Amino acid sequence: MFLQKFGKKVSNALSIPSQLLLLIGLIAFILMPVFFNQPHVLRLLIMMNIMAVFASSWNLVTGYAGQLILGHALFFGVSAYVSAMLNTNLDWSPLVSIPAGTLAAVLTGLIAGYPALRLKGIYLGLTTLAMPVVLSGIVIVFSDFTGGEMGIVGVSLLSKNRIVFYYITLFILVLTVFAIHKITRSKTGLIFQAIRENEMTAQASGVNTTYYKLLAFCMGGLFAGLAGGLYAHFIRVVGPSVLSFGFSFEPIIWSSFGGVATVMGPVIGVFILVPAIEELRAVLGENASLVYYIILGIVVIFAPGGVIRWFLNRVEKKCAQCEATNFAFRRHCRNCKSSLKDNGVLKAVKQS
Amino acid sequence: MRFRLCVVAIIISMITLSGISFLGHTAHAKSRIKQGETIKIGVIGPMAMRTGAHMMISAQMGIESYNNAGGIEINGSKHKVELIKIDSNEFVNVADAANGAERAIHRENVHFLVGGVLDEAVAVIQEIAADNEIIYISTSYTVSENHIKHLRKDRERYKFCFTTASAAATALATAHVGIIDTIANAVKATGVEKPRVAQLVAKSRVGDAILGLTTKVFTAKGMEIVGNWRPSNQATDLRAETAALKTSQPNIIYALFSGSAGLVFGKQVKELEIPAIVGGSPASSLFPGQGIEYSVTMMGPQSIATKISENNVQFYNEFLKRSNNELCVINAYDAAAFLLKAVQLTASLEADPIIKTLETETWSAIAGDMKYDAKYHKTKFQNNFRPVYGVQKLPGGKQAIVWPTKKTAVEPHPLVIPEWMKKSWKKM
Amino acid sequence: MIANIFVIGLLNGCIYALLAAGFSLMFSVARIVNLAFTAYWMFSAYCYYGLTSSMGIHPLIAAPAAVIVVILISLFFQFFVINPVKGSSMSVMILSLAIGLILQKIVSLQNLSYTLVPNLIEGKMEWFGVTVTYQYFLCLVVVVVVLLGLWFFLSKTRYGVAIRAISEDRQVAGLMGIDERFAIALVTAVSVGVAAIAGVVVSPLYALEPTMWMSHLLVLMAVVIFGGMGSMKGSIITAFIIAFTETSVVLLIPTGGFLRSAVVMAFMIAVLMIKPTGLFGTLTEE
Repeated sequence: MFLQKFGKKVSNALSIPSQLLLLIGLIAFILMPVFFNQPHVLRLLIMMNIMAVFASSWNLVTGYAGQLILGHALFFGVSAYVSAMLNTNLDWSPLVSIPAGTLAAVLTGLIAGYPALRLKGIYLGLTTLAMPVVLSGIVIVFSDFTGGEMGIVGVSLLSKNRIVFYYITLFILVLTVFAIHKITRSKTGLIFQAIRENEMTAQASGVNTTYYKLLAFCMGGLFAGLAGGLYAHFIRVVGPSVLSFGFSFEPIIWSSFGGVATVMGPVIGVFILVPAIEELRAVLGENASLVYYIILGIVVIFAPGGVIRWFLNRVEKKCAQCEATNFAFRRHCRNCKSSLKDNGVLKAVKQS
Repeated sequence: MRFRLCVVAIIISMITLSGISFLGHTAHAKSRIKQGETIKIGVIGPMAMRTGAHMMISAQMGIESYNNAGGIEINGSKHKVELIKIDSNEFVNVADAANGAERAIHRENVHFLVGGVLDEAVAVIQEIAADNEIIYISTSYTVSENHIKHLRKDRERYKFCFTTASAAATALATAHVGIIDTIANAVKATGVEKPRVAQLVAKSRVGDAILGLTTKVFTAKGMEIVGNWRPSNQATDLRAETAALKTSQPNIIYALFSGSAGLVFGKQVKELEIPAIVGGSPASSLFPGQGIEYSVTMMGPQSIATKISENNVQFYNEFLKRSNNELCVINAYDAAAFLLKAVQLTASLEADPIIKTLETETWSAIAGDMKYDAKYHKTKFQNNFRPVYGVQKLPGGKQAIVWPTKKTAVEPHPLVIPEWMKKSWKKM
Repeated sequence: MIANIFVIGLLNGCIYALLAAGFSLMFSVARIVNLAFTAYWMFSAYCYYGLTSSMGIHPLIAAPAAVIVVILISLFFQFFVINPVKGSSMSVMILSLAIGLILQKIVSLQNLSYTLVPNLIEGKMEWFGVTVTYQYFLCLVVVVVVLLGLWFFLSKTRYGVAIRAISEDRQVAGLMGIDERFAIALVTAVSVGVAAIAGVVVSPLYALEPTMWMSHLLVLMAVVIFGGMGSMKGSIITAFIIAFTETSVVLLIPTGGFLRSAVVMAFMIAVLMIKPTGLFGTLTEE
């Protein structure tokens, strides 16, 4: 009885293209180390997992809550520095120093979120862009603690075995995606989107926007901090480069490429772009970035909403009557058996 | 319910799969080489920049004599040498240097790594070299603090890391003090009682250490410090600093910074006609046709046309030819040449005997004969001498060595101070 | 000391003001944050260098040629890259960043990194006890002329008025028969032209390097946003405020010169907290 019910649920879920693909993808990535256990492939996979967490955190704050952050490296850098310093100076185990770094990033979110209470849009973007610059000034001033431009070396690995490391990061990524999925479907997520669309209206309907904006920043800090801590304990050297422009802009590029304000968008963006630039670099050497940016530009022009939306628009078809999602090749809806053919017209009518 | 089950299933499958993949994961052997295969040296550096280009040119020069001789004999067969160019992109993203190094080792199957400029990037590559037990010789300007830290902490792990930098940062300070002292003496000879020194030192760990020392020594040697300026080590514009320098009316400017700021600084000094001799490492002197006239720059023998060691003049001329008249910014010649000689001596590619050979043999670098310090794998020249010289740039692009360390045979030229400077000092 | 701050600050302020005026104009009309803006500036400096030093063309011919080349490139990118996605501000930001990086890559492929451009006119003079080169004066003159020209164009000519009309209310402007596509092309040409002129004139004052647009981008964004997005007057005044702040940090705290961008940014965050729409902000978010 139970099995039957469960089976029906699973088969239902698998009839939706996006969910089927997600499951296939997840299984593929769980099986990945069995087929590719060369260290450089694993390194790439681990970096992809970490960066996907990082990009997802940006997407949560900017994509869902609409608070434009242009200096997301701040949270990443704070956590990387704090966990590296605790690990090297006080000999804290990575299992303690990563949560500590993450906590520091959450607190940074509280501080960085404060301007968001007054500033909006591009003004907020600039303020957050300026924050990593100020912080790297501080890092250089206190170079006795932070190692200045040399950085902190000798940070211990989270796990000596790279396969274990891979599964840890994959698990954290799955957890992050699941958490963000739940957050966006919850009341909090709805409020975030209400604030993004129109803050005044949200306020008028009795939402404490101050609380929710700070909450968004803290959540962004949480996931970005997690990524930063993992990064520090993977690369083992933390220097001023973690606060650089590159780290601030990359999550924006990945997320927009994949699809802003979609749960899987940033992950897809990272999982396409990071291996792409790596492969291009292996083939083209120092000229790789030229080709990379040209391809990136072309894709963004043709899929401005992100590749995930572009792709799903082609494989999915929504039934006009019951709104169930179907494979694009189906003729009849799997749910109500009505024809999917004149979908376009019906949908247009329904929308108007 | 469904989701909880899924999560549990995922965790269980992860655990089992990691168990399975443990079995498949074996350490790879790098030391074997098949007949006809080439010995591969990965050159890793910022290839989009001048630094990277110079790294490739000099490394190429280092391997040529072996290839011309038909290769190196290992186990009875001859093997040619090949350079693999790897872009570290280290000035943009240090993580790319890590990816590049690992890709070189596992995909390009390099046997050795040389290169790396930034301290942060060198530290990252060292981790990977240690992980994969690949010998890595870094080519940073000075012996990085991180290099020493690594070898002090865990020698067994980091024994694969060597460096070709001629001196630790603090040792450079003594060379700088020597150069400024030479200038100060020449200034005093023109009738200035207490030479005024302005210090323009980029903000960095190295800069902090050096500045502490020089301030003390210069004062003790009867000079007056008129001011310290600390631009960022990534500064692109030193206009404000230069203007302030001029107002402080120094006789000597002690400069230590790198990158494009040096070029602008040189131009400004010329345009503003600051009556002061610039000494130290003002970066711009290494660019073709640039540099401040009469400035004294600390240089290694690879950038000096005067005979200092066996092959420095030959290297200098050859490099200029290949680099379109640019002085060598970074030298990977030594690193490549040492590695190949060590391979030739041990007739194998195994790490341990090569490390042993590197530690014990004497190596002829461009700067002269040297040995490796067995503890920290840094260079040690005979009689503890540092192969750096104070080279004055005279009008017409001529170089004159005005300050050598005491332990070298090079005869120093007297320092030239132009008449217009002397005149303006008299007025002051 | 004060004279030094004044002279150096004035020069840097002029360069920032010129760039900021163009950037601000582009934002107020096209409503896009074009991150490639300073890359056009960098590119024109390199074009000028390439034409004069490598090809030996006379500077007076090379300068307008470089400006025109850069304007044409920017129009190409505007029409084929930016316009198709102009509805999505994130896509615009990324594409313009990609354009900037592509231009940077094109320059660095020519092996021209770290280059000095010779002065247009040699010589120098004393001004308030500070030595100032003639090239510097040339910059000041050009900046003033270009800014005045920009003002004249926007307030006195038909096209200028049309552009301002669009920036005030694009729907009504459309109803009045102003072609938006044409206006955007015009604005792109004018604002990039301003940046290109800045590139040609100030190139002898900097060491050219392909990455120099990145560091200026941050300052420029700070200037434009701090002054109030879309307010040209605000941008120009803030350009000077920021330039003077930077110079003062270096000159008053010589050992803290490396902190100058950090100080400017901290100062800016503080002011924005008090005045959330920038100093002269008129535009509200749509």
